[in-house]
Amino acid sequence: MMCKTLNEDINLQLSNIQKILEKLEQTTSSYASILVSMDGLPVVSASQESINEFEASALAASILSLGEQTTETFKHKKLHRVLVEGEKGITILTEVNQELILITIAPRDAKLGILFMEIERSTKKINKVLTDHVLGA
Amino acid sequence: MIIISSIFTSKLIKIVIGGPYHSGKTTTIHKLDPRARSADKLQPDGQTTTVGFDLGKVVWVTSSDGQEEIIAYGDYENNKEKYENANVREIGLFGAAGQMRFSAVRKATLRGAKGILFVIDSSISGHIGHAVALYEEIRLILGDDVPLIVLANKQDIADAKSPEEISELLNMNGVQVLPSSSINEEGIREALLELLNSLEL
Ligand SMILES: Nc1nc2c(ncn2[C@@H]2O[C@H](COP(=O)(O)OP(=O)(O)O)[C@@H](O)[C@H]2O)c(=O)[nH]1
Ligand SMILES: [Mg+2]
Repeated sequence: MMCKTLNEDINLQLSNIQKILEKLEQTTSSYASILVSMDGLPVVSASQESINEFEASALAASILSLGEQTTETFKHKKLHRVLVEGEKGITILTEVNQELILITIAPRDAKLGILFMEIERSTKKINKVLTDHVLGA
Repeated sequence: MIIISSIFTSKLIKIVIGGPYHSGKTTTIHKLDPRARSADKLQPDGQTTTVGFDLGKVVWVTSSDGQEEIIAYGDYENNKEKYENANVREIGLFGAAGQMRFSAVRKATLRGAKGILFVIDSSISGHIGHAVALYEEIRLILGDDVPLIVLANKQDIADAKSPEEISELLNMNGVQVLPSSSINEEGIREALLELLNSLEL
């Protein structure tokens, strides 16, 4: 019985987070968002295109760790985000908290300022959902 | 704030394939999952080496009569009806770069691992010191409780050391060493099943 309430709580949190991700896509030009664990495993996503989340998650965890290593090497203090630019699109990796990374994917011509601001807003909201429901905290 | 993110990701069991450079980690993952992806770098000698990333996915199927199987995820997806009555768990196979200088990525790769397959080239005794250093690094990061099995790989090579000899050289207390030839797909599924059965899930 304990298990069921815990599961329900988790599902509720995940669906709340998914709504936050959907909102992020409505307010910006981003077309996919995936929340992943620092272990490199997918948690929840909202996406307008089919994306290999399993692969994206593992990549994100590896890249973020290298980003952290980089800011440390250059004494830039805490890592905020990693931006990966390609010819056709950009990928933004943002540290949500010690355990979670948000991957945001957008077209190449996305307005970065707005995107960064909305991502920041979303990560705050995600953290609020997680603390409000007190999961093991 | 404490968040147990593993609660959200428990659907997938993370297994790390570790071990020294050139021992057969990438080969093992690609034999288990032909659709596996790797970020490889071509070396001057024409060989490739993993720079940070090998990733495959398999399923661990236990049928109603207790028979166990490891199946590439793609094959499972194409025949899902066949496994309707079986217990199916998804397994993520994460390859960790072997070179010492890739320690930062290796740390990220090891994070959250439920078990380790540690691959060693049994035909080169020069690998043993490096293997022990990598093993100690894994224990430092993950602690002593995460199950680990050593694959004494490349048993097909004539002068390869036996698992018993490898075990003696490694001198790792109580660590199981199993024979394999990744390139011939021998011993790898058996070792993975052995590892999965030792996990506390
Ligand atoms: N003879 C033999 N060669 C192998 C075996 N497994 C891998 N190799 C070869 O060893 C080399 C290194 O393998 P690779 O999987 O790239 O090693 P990694 O650096 O640990 O990822 C490649 O040339 C493989 O073909 C094996 O079981 N037997
Ligand atoms: Mg490799």
